[in-house]
Amino acid sequence: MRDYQTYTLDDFLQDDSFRDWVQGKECINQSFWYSFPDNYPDKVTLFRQAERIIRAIGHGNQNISEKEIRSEVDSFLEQISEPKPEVNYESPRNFGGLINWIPWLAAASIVLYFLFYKPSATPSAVETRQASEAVAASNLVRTCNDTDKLLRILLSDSSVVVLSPNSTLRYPSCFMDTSRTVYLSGEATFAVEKGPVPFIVYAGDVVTKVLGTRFVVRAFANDVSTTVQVQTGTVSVFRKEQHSNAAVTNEQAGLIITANQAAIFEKSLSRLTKTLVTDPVKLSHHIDFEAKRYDEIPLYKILNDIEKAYGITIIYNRERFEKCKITATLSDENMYQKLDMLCKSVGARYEIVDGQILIQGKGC
Amino acid sequence: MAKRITSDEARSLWREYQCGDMFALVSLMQAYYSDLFRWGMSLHAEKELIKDCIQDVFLKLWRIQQSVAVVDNVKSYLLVTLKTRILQELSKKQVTHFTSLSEEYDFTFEFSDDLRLIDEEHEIFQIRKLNHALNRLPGRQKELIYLRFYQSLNFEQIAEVMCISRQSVYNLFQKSLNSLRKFYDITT
Repeated sequence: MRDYQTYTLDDFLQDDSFRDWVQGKECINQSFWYSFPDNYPDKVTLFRQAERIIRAIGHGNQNISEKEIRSEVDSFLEQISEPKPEVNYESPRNFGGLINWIPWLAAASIVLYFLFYKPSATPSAVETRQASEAVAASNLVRTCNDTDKLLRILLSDSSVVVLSPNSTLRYPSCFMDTSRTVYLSGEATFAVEKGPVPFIVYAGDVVTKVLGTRFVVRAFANDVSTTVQVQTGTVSVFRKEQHSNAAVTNEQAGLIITANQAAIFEKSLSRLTKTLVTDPVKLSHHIDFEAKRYDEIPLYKILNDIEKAYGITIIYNRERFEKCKITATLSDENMYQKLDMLCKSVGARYEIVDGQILIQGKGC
Repeated sequence: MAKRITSDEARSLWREYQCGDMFALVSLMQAYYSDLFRWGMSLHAEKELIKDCIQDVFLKLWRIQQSVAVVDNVKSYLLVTLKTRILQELSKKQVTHFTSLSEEYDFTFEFSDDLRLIDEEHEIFQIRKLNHALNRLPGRQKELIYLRFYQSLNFEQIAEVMCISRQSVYNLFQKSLNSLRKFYDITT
């Protein structure tokens, strides 16, 4: 929270926005800093001192051009794209490619990521558990993809599963009327048909129940946590133990996560928490941020636009921020960058709390 | 200028890289390249060597991807790793007097004053005086000022990069402000 009244010299010097302004860089809140001496007369001395120090430090004179950086990065990418000489593990390489084919997915779809899988001689505890469940559940088909291509599986309810290399799906050859449950170890993309019963995916310690359309489950044995990320729709995530109890009591003891939210299950702490996905995807095409210019627009209007665009709730004290007017251009930076910009310009900061954005500050 | 990424974004990318996502590592390189380059150049101003060292750092990170741990401050981790790499290269070439990582190298960065948009002669004089003072700071203090205002590191991150305790950083910071205090009255 920015309390400019208590700003020390160090606070000024550490303030990115202030520094950018002094150095004449493009920044949203130029007017704020120009009028700062008028608004905070007690701070004028420090303000001027900080300004001087920043000018005395000056510009970097050892810069490198964007073009050169790109070429260095490209050359690095080229080098690591060659297959590695060691083969003591197998892991699919182009996860970046995975992210690119999300658009491939049809309307209702689930993407499961599995980023590290070590084929071991003895099955892991997870697999053993799953295997015994599979035996308990009647006649599960076990399909293992040990090729290096994607494998398409059609389920009995017309849902489609695209299984990645080194992954295994266990599923009933015919879904009964009462349940649609599958077990995954590895990575898969699902296109789930809407049905009378929820579609449930067991992956590691996490159970994901599909109430809506697209989500991502990251469940790998060697990781410290399992993540479920939702792109669109709604998903309910439970810890495995909870889920079996819930079945009996019919209580929703898990987390419900919606678009662009994520649930993280920390294995060691056995704790399930809600947050936001790392790369929030725009849901609505009505709000186009391609160089959208806001001219003296109330902050709450811009926040509404962002809420609609990303499907995430933003919480803030409306009274405090009511008078805030913003002049800014938002374009293709990601959601977090947009929030950074807006928060800086009103001296606020944001936090992700329970899958929502919480903005705190003194307001205007 | 490359867009700044937040330390949360960096941490996420780091986690993804840990899981084998090479594009996450590439994104980190893209995001921090400029900072790493300037940092490297301030340690030793030889462009091609610095570029090679940066490549080496990331290539090594990719090679050790399986065994790398969670990192809290990605930027300071990268800065330290680069510094280590550069000093190793230099000692190999026997170019300099660097023997250890912590105390003896010369922080060669020169602060260059920025007098644009200043008309008033008195202002210009003050700023020049301050610039002079900053450049005369002892190496460690200069490095701290650089890390704080160029690389925007907090005290914890500076402690990592400079291999000293957080308290030492704070004390050193107060020392540098005191040094500058001689040139004019700084109220903190």
